[in-house]
Amino acid sequence: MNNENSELKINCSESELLIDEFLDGMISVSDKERMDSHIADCPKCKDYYAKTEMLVRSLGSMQGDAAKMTVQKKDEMWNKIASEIDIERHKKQRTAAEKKLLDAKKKKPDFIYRYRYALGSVAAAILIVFIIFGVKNIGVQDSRLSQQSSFGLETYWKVSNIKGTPLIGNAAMGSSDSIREGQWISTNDSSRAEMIVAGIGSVIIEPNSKVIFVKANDGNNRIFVEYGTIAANINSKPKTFFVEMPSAVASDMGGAYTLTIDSSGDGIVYVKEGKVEVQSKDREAIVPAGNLVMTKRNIGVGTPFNEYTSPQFRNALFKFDFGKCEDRCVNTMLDNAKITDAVTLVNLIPKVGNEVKDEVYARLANFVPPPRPVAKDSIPFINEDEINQWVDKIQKEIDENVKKNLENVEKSLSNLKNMEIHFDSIPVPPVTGKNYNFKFREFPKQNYKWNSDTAYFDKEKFEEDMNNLQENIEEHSFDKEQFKEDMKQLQEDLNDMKLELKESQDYNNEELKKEMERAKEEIRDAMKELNKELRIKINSGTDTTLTRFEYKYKKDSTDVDLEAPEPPEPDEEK
Amino acid sequence: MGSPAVSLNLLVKNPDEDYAFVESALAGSSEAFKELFTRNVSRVYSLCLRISADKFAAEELTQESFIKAWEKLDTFRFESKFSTWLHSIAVNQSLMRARADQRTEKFEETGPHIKGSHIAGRYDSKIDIENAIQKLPPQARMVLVLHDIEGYKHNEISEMMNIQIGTSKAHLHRARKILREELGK
Repeated sequence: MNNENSELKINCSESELLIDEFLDGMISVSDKERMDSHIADCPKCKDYYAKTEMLVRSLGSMQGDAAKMTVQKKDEMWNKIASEIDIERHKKQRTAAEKKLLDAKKKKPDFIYRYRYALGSVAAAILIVFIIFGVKNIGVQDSRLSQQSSFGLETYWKVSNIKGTPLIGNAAMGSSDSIREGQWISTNDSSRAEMIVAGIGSVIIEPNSKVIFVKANDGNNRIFVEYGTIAANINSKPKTFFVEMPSAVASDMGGAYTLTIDSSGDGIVYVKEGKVEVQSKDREAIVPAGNLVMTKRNIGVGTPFNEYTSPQFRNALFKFDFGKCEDRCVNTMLDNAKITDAVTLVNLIPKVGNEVKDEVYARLANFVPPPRPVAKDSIPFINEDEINQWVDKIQKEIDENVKKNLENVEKSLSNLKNMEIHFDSIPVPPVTGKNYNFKFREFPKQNYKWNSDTAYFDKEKFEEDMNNLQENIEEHSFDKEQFKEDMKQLQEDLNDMKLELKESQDYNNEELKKEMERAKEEIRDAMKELNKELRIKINSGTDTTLTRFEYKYKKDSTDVDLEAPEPPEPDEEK
Repeated sequence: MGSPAVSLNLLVKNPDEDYAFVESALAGSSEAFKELFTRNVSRVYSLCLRISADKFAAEELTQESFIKAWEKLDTFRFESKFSTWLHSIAVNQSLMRARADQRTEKFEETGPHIKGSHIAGRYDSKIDIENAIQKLPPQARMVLVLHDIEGYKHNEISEMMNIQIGTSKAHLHRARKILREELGK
């Protein structure tokens, strides 16, 4: 025990060092024990510890406090730095490709100068050829020229920086820049970029994405999305712009779509407008607006589905596309299919087994009949063109339906606005049966008898409902003045309550203080009595230890009023 | 279905946001280097101001640090944070200047190297501390600023200042002691 104690002993200098280590969080358990043991007995080190801890805490909160630089000061400083740094220094580090490009640019004037006469002759010859034979599609050529380098060997696409600092290869993209075949654009959390494909459309590269410009020939413009999200808006003729993914290729048929590839190479294509064809090794999907399609690495593209399809239908579809569930899943889909799933069903026809092919065809034809009727024995041989036409028809019908419904909604709304309701004689709104059918589809059917062509209106029932409604309204009517009055009363009540609470608190505090004083007084009296008794005992020489106690008690009693230590029983001390 | 992009999880994160700009700057982009400057200048200036205890010297040191950083950028190994690397350059520049100042002062016999406060004295505890920091010997001040204010560990400071870890600890202990005494006056 003594050894342990001696090991714990340290002097003040050592203690100060240990305090530093403790405040840095680097102290060992044994050193901490030594430090604690020393501080417990050394007021000087205790003070050192308290002040150092306070100082370290204050210093720690000062990070960045002195950094008050105005924007102007920063600009001034940057200008000085920019004038000093050798901008060319790191250009040596550029990639080989960039260097090659740089070299090509540097060589260009020499080349032109050296072969200026030969080039002049070639230009003259080309001009003659143009004049003699004429050139078809000259407009197309013009649009391409703006994207080509002076030699016509490499194609450039314009890119622009929308947000943050997207990179072209390893270099930061300028506000308006260009990208050539083989280069890539990458964005981080906070950057976005746009790629302009002249005469074709634009592609927005969303944050956290990498897109490679593969190639651009007439009618074959390709990018590769390695990961991330792009939003393409294409206005060119079908199948001129291709987006390659790790597992499939999306070819545009004119429209707008977003495409996302995750870190594992799986993807999802969502078509907003127009139509997109997604192809993989042995699969194909025609995806019209409002539909999505998944792609899985090593499997390929799935079947398109509507964005509002039911979870049951969608889950069965995923199992069919990417799992090992065939006819069973097809039956689940057929059970849950709605008209919005027509696009999925038409895409399923070539994929499903012959046993269920007829059923899929029949279900689909029930929703949207095929553009041309197909004989039963020809169903297995429906080709891509027929599917495409059927998809177009489905989309057309859906669009028409949406349009018609919107018109109906507008009509019904305007009718409702103009409608005057007199409860003694309720007029039937002047709308057609068809409109009625749409507008009131949400009404509980059991109360009203509707027919899709002629609207049979149960006037009595309607009148009764309206009366009930009126009664309800009256019952729950809102009297503004009464409400104001109620609120005023409530406010007054609250104020009264607050006052009462305050008074009661004041009273309680005063009372408590008085009680404390009374208690203290009682204790003081009791102590005096006890002292008297003790003095009598000491004077009579009954117990000498009590003298010490009395002294101790008197000392303590200066700071402890309520809990003075009880003196030991004189009998026990004996 | 909502937004289809939501369902896919993208895992593309940089350990240090400055890295992309360093790469671009390495490829010759002064714009990227300007971005690095904008992101880091305040802390570098703050560090230089505390180390040098002189506003004008701090500005010069900040500029010199960034110019040095540009020149040495190809030695950055992407193993530490860019800001740490930049701070170590600032520390080095400050040390070099301090040595030069010391030599001049000795030569001119202008007395102690402690310079007067450039921040108006007020009865504000933080300003008192700032003033007291400026009265510390250069090495001790540097260690204190790096350790207690900037939050670097002794091993990092030993690398930045090219001193032993034990020396760094001793400087810190001394700095804190002087500071406490100065503030206790």
